[in-house]
Amino acid sequence: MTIELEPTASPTTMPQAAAREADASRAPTADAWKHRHVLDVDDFSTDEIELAMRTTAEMKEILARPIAKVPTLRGRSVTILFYEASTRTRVSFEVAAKNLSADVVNIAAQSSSVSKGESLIDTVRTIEALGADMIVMRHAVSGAPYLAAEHFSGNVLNGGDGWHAHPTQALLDLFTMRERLPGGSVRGRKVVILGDILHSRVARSNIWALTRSGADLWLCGPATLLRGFERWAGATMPGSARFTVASSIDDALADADVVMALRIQKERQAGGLLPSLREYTARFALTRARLARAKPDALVMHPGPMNEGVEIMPDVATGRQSVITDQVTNGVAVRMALLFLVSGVPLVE
Amino acid sequence: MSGRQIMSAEEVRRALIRISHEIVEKHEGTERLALVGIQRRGVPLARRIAGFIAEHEGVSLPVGALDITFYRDDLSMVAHQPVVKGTDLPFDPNGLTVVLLDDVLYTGRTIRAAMDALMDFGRPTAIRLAVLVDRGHRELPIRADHVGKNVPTSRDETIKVRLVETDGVDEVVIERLEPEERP
Amino acid sequence: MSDLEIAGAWVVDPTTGREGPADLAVEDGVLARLDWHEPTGATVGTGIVVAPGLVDLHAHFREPGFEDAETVATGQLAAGHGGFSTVCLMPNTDPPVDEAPVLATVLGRAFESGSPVRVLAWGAATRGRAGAELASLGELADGGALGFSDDGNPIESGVLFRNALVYAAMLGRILVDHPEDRALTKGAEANEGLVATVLGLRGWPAAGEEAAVARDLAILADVVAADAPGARLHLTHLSTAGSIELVRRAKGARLPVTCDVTPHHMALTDEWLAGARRFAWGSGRGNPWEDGAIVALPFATSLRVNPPLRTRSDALALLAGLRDGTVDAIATDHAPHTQVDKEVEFGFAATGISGMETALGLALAAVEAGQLALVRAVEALTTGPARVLGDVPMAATGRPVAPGLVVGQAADLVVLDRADGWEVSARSLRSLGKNSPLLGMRLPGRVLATVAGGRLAWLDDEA
Repeated sequence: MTIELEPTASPTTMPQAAAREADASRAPTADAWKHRHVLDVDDFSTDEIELAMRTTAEMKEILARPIAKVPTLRGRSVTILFYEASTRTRVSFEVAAKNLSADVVNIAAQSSSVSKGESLIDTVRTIEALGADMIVMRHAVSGAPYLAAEHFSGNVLNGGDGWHAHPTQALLDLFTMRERLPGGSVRGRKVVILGDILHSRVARSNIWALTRSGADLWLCGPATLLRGFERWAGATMPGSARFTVASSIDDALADADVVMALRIQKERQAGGLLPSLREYTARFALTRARLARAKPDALVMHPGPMNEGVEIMPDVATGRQSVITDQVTNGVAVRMALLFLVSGVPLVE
Repeated sequence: MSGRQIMSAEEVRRALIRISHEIVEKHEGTERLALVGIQRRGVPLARRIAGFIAEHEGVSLPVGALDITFYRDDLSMVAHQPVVKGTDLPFDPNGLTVVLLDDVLYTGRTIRAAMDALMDFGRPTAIRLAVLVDRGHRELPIRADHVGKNVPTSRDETIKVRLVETDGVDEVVIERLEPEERP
Repeated sequence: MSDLEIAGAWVVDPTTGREGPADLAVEDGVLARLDWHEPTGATVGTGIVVAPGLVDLHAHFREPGFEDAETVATGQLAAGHGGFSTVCLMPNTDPPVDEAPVLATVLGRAFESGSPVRVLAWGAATRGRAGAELASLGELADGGALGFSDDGNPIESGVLFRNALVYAAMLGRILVDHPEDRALTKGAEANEGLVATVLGLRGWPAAGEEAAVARDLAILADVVAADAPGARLHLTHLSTAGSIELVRRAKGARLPVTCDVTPHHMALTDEWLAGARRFAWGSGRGNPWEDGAIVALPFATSLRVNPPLRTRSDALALLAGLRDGTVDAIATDHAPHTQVDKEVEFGFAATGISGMETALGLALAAVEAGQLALVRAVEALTTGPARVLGDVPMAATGRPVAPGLVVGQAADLVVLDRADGWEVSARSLRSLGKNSPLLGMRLPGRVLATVAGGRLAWLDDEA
């Protein structure tokens, strides 16, 4: 039996680079991770996104092992602090932390401006006093993890804040696209995010991740749920490609490589943003007929939880082109990668 | 920093040929034998030794690559997380004798991590260790079965193994760290 | 007090529009001498500057009800530090100033504090500031209210707004509105625009203010024509280019309307929420990401204010309005808050900036940037607000507010050193409210002394 190994070294295997690396494993390297927190994708460079992707691939290798567990974060304590109900993101982070042998504490908290309970800062200080090294946080108010990061001496990972950001979701989406697209890259690929963009932190973080990775990004949905995004599309963001905003689903889906549907909530009807969910489904749901406008092997994605029959039809969600379950698996790998990467950043900067 | 060559390309080649013979001799053959290189220079060493064994025994042994980053005991002490190079173990180590290959044996901590990593994949019959250079200063009760060259060193010195596959040249160099570079 | 003698200061007298080098002396609290030098031709004004004591049309001193955020006494100290000798307080206390006894309490506190800073007050326009029925307007006027405002709340009902305007006119008082269409601003966190879209903050559209301004002006025109020619409307803390344009046109049509802008709306922009820290006039194309201008973390709650910080072009329109006289005054909207109310999630944070002590510094920064002439900045902080108040008598004296440098009268002035600056910090701010987005920044113009009614309201320790 002969096994030929693929070269596993990084593409930059120049003698000089390798020589530098030879004794540099204890020192910061050019592509060392420098972010103590994961708050959004906006401050990650293309190189850093690349490092996150590479590390995620290594974590997927661990997930494929008979014992999908490594001792990397043994003795570290991860507190999962969720102010909003969520099953999949919370469980995904928990599994990721446990795969790295971290100790996990779950806190389901409540917070509002009216019922003044313990303040977020007090909660963070308490968690720190209880010995947490990392906090994974979900909050209904945009920016809340930044406040936590300011008052916590460990690492903060944003598990979703208000309408603002959901960085691990965007990175798992990107990883899934790269894994499934021929060529392993989203550069020049037409990616459509479809639905309630206005209220979506998934869309916002994906804008950063995808435009920075050179995708041809399209945002599509009812005009009332795209408010403000034309301005962003028209703004120059250094290091990022432009994106397109469209209310015509036919234009958006034409020759698309990836279509990601977002959850639509019933509250949008009560808020006067939509005449009815029925009308939304009639005009914007991802159906088999609409998907036919995209490329034949276009990927179908959804960050979940899905309302099947509302924004996406069941046969599309579970069909040949769907990579929705890959997203879930890759979510664990991405979160493992980020937990690992931030754990190495010195706490005193 | 001053460097002095202690093994030439030819010396490296001869040491690896000798190790390849020792491995077969100690194992009394090549049955149920596998080689696993530790990222990153252990991997080309494992491939070269497999090549030599193929030449003199006519048998191609399975070769794997092990990245021990996730098993290091000093992750909380390093400045930044090292870049992971990847693990690829394209065989089941259960019931095999696995020879671990690394370039330099020093404190023994890398080998400890490698054994932990390997055993997460299964239960080898035996694990042996082959290194190109043993420089001493062990911090764990670990000993190599096959050594290319024993090099007495001080802790102020560093051993650089360079290989064609990773560095463009085969040689081993000893360097003295300047005081400000010392750990 | 108090004797003070300053030779060779740059004196700015907005009552006459004159500025130049002069010597002045205060003896026993009276401005004894003001000797203008012969004009030398060089207009500098970069060293010691003397101007009439500043007048703030819009401040919150939080007493009664929220004394942990500010008291009348600490507010007066902050006023002195900011160069203000006269402040007009908004009625959103607890209880609100919707009855004469509460007004008497507030004015009494100012007297008891011993501070010479003159404290005047607006009464509430509607009972409980709830927008359902009129407050005790007549009794409040008798008790010394300058006029009426539900500041913090707009008067949403058009008919109640009209009635308040008519009734105030009958009393010879001003109605001050906080223009906001609440349907358009429900849940809003930041100016609707690029920054809010990117940061995922709920937008407060410019139209939310402009729709209310347009309504107010339409009702004012109706009232002036039909019921009350003496009606007077003051629109406070206008923040958008559109609002300024509406007022410009209304003034052109000779409607009796005045307005103010805050120092923060004039100098800061919504870019600051994203982490930029540059003044409106230096802000490139207004996209902090494009310009690489982001130097701080986003979502600083010290920037949460109502109306929200707007865009660069809005801020520049406010400055243009100040230059052409559309905007009558710079008013601080000094809104101190406790740490408990500010050190929370952005969307939960109380709105407001502790701004009385930084107002002059921001105005001088605009002067240094060539956005305002020094004399115009001083006017907007002295005679401008006095003109808004018009002939409304002050409770204590029965006379209207009249800033100026009049020899023989009690001195009422501010002395500042434009060559020196000061660092805004929790320590240097005298207000109990440390909620300033300028913490850690250096502002031009150190106030050396503030004299109010012949007595020292502030004296710099190091001066």
